[in-house]
Amino acid sequence: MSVRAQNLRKSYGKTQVVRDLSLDIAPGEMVALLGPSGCGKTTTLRMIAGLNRLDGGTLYIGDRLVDDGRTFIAPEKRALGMVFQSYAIWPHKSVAENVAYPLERKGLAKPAVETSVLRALDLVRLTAMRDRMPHQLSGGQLQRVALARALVREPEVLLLDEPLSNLDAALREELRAEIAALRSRVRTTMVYVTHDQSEALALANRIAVMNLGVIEQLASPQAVYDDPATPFVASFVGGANILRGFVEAGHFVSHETRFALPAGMTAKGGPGTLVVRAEDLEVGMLGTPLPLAARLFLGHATEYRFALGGTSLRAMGPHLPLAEPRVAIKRAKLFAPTV
Amino acid sequence: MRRPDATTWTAWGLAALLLAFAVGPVIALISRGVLDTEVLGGELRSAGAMAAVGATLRTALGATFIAVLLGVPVAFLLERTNIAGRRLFGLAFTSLIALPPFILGMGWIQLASPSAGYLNRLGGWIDIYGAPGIAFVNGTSGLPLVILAVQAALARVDTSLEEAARMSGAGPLRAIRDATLPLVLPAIVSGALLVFLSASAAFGVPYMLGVATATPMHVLTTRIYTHLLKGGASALAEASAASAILLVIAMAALAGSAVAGRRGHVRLTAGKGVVVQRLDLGAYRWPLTLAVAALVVVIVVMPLAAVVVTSLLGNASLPIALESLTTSHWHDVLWNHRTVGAAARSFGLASAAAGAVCVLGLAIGITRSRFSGRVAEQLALWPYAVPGTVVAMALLTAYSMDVRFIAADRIAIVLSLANSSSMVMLAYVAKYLAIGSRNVVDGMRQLDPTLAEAARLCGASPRRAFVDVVLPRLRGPLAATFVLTFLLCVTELTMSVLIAPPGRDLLGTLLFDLQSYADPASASVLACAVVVVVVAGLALTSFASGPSKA
Repeated sequence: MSVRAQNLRKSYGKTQVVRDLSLDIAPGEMVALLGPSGCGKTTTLRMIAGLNRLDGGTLYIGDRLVDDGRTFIAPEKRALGMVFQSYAIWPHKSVAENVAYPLERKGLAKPAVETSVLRALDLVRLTAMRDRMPHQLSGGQLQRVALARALVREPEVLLLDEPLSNLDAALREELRAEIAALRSRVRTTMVYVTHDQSEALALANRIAVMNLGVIEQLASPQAVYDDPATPFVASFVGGANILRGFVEAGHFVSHETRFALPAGMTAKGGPGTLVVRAEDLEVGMLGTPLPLAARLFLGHATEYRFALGGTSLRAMGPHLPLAEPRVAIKRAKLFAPTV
Repeated sequence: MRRPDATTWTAWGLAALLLAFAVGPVIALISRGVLDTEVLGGELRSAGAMAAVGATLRTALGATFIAVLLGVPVAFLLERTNIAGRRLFGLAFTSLIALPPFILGMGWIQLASPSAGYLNRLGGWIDIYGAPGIAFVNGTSGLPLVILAVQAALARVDTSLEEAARMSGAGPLRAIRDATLPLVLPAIVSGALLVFLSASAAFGVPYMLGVATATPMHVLTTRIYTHLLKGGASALAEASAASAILLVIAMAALAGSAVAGRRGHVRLTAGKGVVVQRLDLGAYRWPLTLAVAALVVVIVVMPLAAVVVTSLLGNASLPIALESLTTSHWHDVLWNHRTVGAAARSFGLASAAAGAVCVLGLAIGITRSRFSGRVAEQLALWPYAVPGTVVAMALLTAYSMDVRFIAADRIAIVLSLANSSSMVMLAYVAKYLAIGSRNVVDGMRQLDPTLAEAARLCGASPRRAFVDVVLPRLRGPLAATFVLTFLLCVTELTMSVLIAPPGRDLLGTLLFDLQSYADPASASVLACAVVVVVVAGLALTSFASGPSKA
C-alpha cells in the first residue's frame, strides 16, 4: 500500500519541526528517513502513524485520506504495524500475549489468534520464548518481539522508529541482516527512521535525508552516496569533509591552503563549497603538505587527521609510515557557497 | 569475620533506641492487651467495641473508596494529558497533604452542619455528621496520597506502551486500560493503603463529626480516648485491648495490600529514558480542566473559606453580611497567653522532633549498607503504619513510671517521661522517623555511586567523600523531611491529645479544645493562623528543594 504525504507541517510551540514535507512511497517499497536528531524524522513517522496530528498538508495511506488537519483517522483505525525505539513491550504480558494483542483487538477467534501468533514468532525465530515474560528477555529478543507484534496483523505498512539504536554493535548488525531477510519474505511497505547511515544504505530502496524539518535529498542509496544533492547530505551520509573557500585557476583555496582540483574537473573561478569524502583524499608523497594532527589505525584502513585552519581534514587510506604525508584530492564535488 | 566498627555500633545503638522507645512499647502494649484475655474478651463481646470496629472499617473503607475514585483519574489527567493549569492543580493537591484534616472537618461543619451550615442556609440539605461525612472528609484529605503515588508511577511508564496498543487497534481508553493501568496498579494499591491507614487512625475528624453529635458514634480511636478520660486501671486495660484491635486492623490492611501489590507487581524491562507524550484532550480539554478546578474548589477552597468567614464573623451563627466581618477579636484569640504558650511549645517540640528525624534518618541512610543498619531501617518504618493512638498509648503505659538505671552502684540515671513534654516529642519522632529514613534512603539511591567513588579516587576518605559529595546532594531531601515533619508535628492532634500533660496545651490540642468545648469562632481564628504557617512552610520547601520535591 502506498503512503502519500503532501506539504506536511508540524510545529511544537514556536519551533517548526517539519516544514512543507512531501513524500511518495510506492507499495512494497522501503523508504528510510535519515537525519540527525531533531531533524523531524520521528515526528514525520508519528504523523503517518496517527500518533501526532498534522498542522497542515494532507496524508494518504493507500487511497484513504487519513489526516488533513480536519479529517483524522485515529491510529488504531489505520491498521499499521509499528516498532518503537523503546520496543514498548508491555511488561505485564508474556511474549505470546504481547504478540496476540493486535489480533484480539481485531476480534479474531482464539484458534486463529494462536496460529497467527505462532507464525509471527516463527518469523522472528522466537517460538521457544513464547511464554517468557519481557524482563526475562535480552534487548535483541525484545526487539524481535516488537517486530512480531507489528507484523502479526499483516499490516500493509510497517513503521520502524530507530528499531536498532538501543542494541549493541554486534547485535545491531545481526538484526539488520534479519530485517533485510524479512524484506524478501514480507512484501509490505516500510518506513524506517534512523540516524545511522549504514542502516539506511543497507536496507532501504530509497533514502530521504532530512535536515531541519525538510528532505534535502530523496534518492536511491547509491545516488545519495555517490551524488549528494547538498553539502549536508554529503557530510551526513558519507562523512565528507566540507571546505569553504574559492576556486582559482584549477585550485581550491580554503583556510589559506591551496589544493589542486582533480584532473578533468572543470570549475569556474569564485567562491564555493568543496565536498571531499575521506576516501577520496589520497595520502602520500604528492599533493598539499599539511600538519598531521592524528593517525588512527582502524584495521581495514588508517584514518589521518590533518589540521586545517581551526578544523581538521579527514582522510582514509592504507597505513603509510611517512613522517610528513601530503594529501591530494582524487574526487570532489563543488557546490555554490553556503553560509 | 569483620570486627564491628563504629558504623555497625551506631546502627545497633539506633536499633536499640527504636526498640526501647517505639517498637518495644507497642509490642508490650499489644501483648498486654491480648494476654489479658478477660479484658480483651470483655472488649470483644461489648456492643460498643464492635460498633466502633464497624464504624472504623466503614469510615476508613469509604474514605479509601472516595480517594481512589477521584485520585486515579485526576493523577492521569495531570500526568498524562494536556489539561490546563497542571502546575497549579498539582500545588493545590500537594498542599492538601500538610493541611490537618481536623481543620477541613471544622470547615465542613461550618458549611454543612444540618442546623446552621452555610450551605444549608443557602437552601441545601447536607448532613456532614455521621459515618458518610467522616468518610468524605478523610477521603478528600487523603486524596493527594493516591494522586502522588499514581503520578509517580505514571511518570515511570513509557507512553509508547500505550501507543503500541493504539497501533494494535485499541481505542484511547482501551489502550489506557490494557497497557498503562496494569502497570500502575501497585501504586494505586499502595496509595489506597495509605489512605486506609490514615483514615482508620484518624481521631480529630471522627471525634468532631461522630462523637460530638446528638447520637454519638464512636470509632476505635475515639473509644480509646474516652476510655482514657475515664481513668483508672480497668479503663486503661480496656483502652489497651481496643488499641490491640486497632493495630490488628492496620496490620491486616498492610498484609493484604502487600499480597495484592506483589500479585500485581510487574518488573519493568530495563528502561532507557522514559518517553512521555501528553495526550491531546481536544474538545474535552476545557470541560475536564473545569471539572478538576471544581474538585479543588469543593475539597480545598470551600472548607478553608468557611473557616476564614467564621473567623471573621466572630460567631458562626451570625448571618453572613459584609459589615459584620471583623478582625477585631483576632488579636484577643492569637495574643492571649494560652495561645502564645501553646504555639511556643508546639514550635519548640516540632522543630526538635523534625531535627531528630533528620539526624536519625541520615544515620539510617549511612548505616544501611550494613545488616545492622537495615534492621534499624525496618524498625523505623514500622511505627509509621501503627495508628498514632496506639503509639501514644504504648508510650503512656510503658513509661508511666520512672525508669532508673543504676550505674556503678552509685549513680542513678532517672528517666522520667510521664507527664512531660519530652514524651510528646518522643512520640512525634517515633511516628515520623520513617519520613526521614525514606527520604534519605531514596535520595542516596538516586545518587550515582560513581560520584563518591570519583571523590575517593581523588584522595578523599570515606567520611570526607560523604561530606563533600553525598551530603550536598541530600540537602533537598533533608530540607523536605524537616519541613514536612515540622508541619505534621505542629498540627498533630491524635497523639498529642492523649500524651500532652494537663495545663500544657499544644496547638493541636488547643484547637481541639476550642472547637469541641468552648468557642468554634476562636477555633476558626486559630485554624486560619495554622493554615498560614502550613502554607508558608510548604512554600519554603518548594523554594528550598526545587519544583520536584514536595
